[in-house]
Amino acid sequence: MPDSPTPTSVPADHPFRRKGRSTDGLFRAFFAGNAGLTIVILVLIIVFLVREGAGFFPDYRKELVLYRKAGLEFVDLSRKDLTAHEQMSSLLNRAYYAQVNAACRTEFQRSQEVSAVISYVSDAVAPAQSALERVQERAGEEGVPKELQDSLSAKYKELLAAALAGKPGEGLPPTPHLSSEERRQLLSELEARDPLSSDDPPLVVALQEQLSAKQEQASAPLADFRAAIDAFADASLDLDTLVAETGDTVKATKEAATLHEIEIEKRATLLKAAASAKTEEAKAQFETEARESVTTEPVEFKTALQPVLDRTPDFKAANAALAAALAEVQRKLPASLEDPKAGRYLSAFRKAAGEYERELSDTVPAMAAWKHDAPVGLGSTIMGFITGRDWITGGEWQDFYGIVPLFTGSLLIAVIALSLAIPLGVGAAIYTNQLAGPGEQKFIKPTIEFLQAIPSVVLGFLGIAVLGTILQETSMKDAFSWVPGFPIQQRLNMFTAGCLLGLMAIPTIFSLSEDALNNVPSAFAEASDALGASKLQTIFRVVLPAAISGILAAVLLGLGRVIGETMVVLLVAGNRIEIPDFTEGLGVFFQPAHTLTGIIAQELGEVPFGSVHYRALFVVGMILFAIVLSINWTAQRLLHKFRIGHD
Amino acid sequence: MRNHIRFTAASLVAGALLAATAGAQTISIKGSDTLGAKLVPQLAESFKSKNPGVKFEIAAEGSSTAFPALANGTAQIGMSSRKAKPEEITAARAKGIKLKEVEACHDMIVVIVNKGNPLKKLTKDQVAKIFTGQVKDWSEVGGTPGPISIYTRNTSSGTYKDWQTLAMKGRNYAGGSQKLAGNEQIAQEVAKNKNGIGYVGLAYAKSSGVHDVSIDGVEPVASNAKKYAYSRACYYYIPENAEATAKSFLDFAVGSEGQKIAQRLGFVPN
Repeated sequence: MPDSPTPTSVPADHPFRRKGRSTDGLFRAFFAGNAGLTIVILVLIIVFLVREGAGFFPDYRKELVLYRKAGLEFVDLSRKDLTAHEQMSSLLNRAYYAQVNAACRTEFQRSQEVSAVISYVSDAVAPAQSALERVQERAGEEGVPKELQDSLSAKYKELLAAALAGKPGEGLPPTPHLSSEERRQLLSELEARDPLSSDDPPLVVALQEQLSAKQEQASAPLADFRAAIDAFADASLDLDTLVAETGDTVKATKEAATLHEIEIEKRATLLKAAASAKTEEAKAQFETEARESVTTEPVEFKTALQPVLDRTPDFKAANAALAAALAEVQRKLPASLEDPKAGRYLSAFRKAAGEYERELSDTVPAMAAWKHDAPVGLGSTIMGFITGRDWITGGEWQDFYGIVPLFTGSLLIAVIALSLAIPLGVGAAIYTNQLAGPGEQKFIKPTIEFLQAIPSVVLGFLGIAVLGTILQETSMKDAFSWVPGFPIQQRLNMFTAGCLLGLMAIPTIFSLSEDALNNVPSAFAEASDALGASKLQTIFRVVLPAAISGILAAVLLGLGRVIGETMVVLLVAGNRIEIPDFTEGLGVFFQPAHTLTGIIAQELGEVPFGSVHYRALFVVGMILFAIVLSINWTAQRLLHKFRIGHD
Repeated sequence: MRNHIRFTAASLVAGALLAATAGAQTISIKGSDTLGAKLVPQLAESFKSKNPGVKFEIAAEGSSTAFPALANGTAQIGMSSRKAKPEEITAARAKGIKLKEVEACHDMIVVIVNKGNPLKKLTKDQVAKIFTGQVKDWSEVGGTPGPISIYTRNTSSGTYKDWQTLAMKGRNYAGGSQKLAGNEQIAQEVAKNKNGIGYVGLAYAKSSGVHDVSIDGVEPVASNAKKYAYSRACYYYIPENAEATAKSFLDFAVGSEGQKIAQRLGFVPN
């Protein structure tokens, strides 16, 4: 029906009619406008992300050029050796102390038991004791009122007596390595202790003395080893001073260059402010300030760097000294150490020695080949960002932006979350859809979907206060010491975060999998029944294969949710920017980590607007966006591609 | 009908004016967590009791947040546990705001370890080695064997950078350090981890579950402020043309009464 006006119920004299419009058209325009606005906002967000992020690579490249020109990179060549040397000495030191301390195990246990008792007692008396301390502090010249003092002291005595009798909590900790007389002595010393003194009871001091005497005794046969370690550690002193001195020089160069740039920028900002100033007076003032703002000369990098380059022979000598020390210490090391832990450290040292030696020998040629004016390519900047193993910001020396540690953290947490959420979510979906009665279905579905309603910050809080603490305390129990990674050192770690995220992904995976199972035409199951298959056979051979694409899509959407979640990982994952130590096997999951989302939330609020760091965070945001987008897109494709029985 | 609309409009304008004059009595303070978590709220409380009608908005999210807020006028006073950088001063100046620096008080950064850790003293060198990651096990510094876990503030914090200069000779933190939002969180995590070490402002050194460590034989107590290795000044920043209320609050904060409150909270008066 072309050109015929649409029939409406609007009366002839209604205002809309008068202006020649129908209400239908108005509603239509309203809804079209809403849809359009949403799309425009989405496009604007993408444009904004790209615009803020795109500036990152050129800016970062500029920073890296300055890093090279000012000579920081040159100093870092040697600093790398220095760090490696420190790691090597630390390994030897740990081997040495592990061996010494192995002989003093009983002494350590004794003093640990004593301090457990002391902390049990002081926890119990803490309320009265801290009240006493507070009144003492606030008392001033008049002194504490006698009544208050007496009542607090009485309270303290009462708590102390209860604690010594082992009444509160789980009772006094056991002391299997102390004689009963020592235990009595400890308790009586604690009883006699002045509530305000922070001195250790005499028994503690005595035990400390015993421990150090034993340590001395145990270290006597290892004197040669000790001397070798000390000689090795001291070999880096020359390089240490050299790096510190040249480091100061190049840092000064860099700062001068940055200052000059800031001043030029300052002049530009002030001139701009002058151009838009409202009064003549303000304008004149801005202009004078602009003239005075540039006070430094541009930096001549070549001349500034010369004193550092002149010390290349010193660097070479220090490098040779390190290599000599390494050879020396390898000759003097004991063939093996009795204590298994010490032995492990020693063999780790031996294993790393080859690598370290190679690194040392690479340094001198690298220094000779180094040029301060070699260009920094944009490609290598981008690669440095994508494959960089360091995310160092807010430092004094040089900021580096490499996302590998953040990406690994996000990935490992997602693995934990999914290995929890897939069995639970899919299993629950199969049960609800195929096996449960209608009554159960009515209960289970809304209950699981209710999980989604818990705000993530509440879950994060739960993670810190409850799950993290429970996990840590459970892991301390001897019965679980066989689990890799136990006892858990850090209360905030990837496992706790992954468990909570898994909880958040369950509803997504559950409801979408359930939908997928529901979409399998009932004819499939009926045919299977008719052929005499049992219920379980039908589920696993017929229904599940038919729904598998939908279930995969559900899992992928759950993964998207996990990767993009921020609050929980920020609160619970521990925020350690380091690639997790995979040598620990499965224990790797109990280490803390930082994530792509967490780093944005933690740092974006505080970076100066428009700085390189700010832009770096935007690039991280773009990467996240791309990851989640591609996961969702794949899920959609899966759903469409393998649809069964819907054509 | 017309009159009615006019009346409504007039009362709305009047209301907005009233709100604006009432708003002039609100002092917004942003910046350092060290100052803003305990000290400034308490100062604000006792200032309010003397000057009824003044309201405070305090946001303590790290020193770096103070300067952008001052520059765009969302804060009247900035708190910082470090000196302002030249570019931060310029950024404010370009928006027509000249910042004045006022020394708030001194603060000591205290190294804390878990209560169960028998270690009572460390040297400056050992602290530097621990935080840069050269020393990885407590046995290397004379403690009970166990891998060291390091807890630090995050990068926006003034304390994060101060610590690098004061204790670590400007070197980078160990890769294994965990970055937490504030003093409180550091104290909590160290209390939960028997191999933990961290640094906090003096006011937090007495938290439960942790104990402080003497550095080079100097106890971290207020009377040792001059001798102690890791003490520093904290600052307020205020625009030169600030309102009278904000100025009088600062005078109160650095005056004898304010300094007494600072001392009670574990800061060292000027």
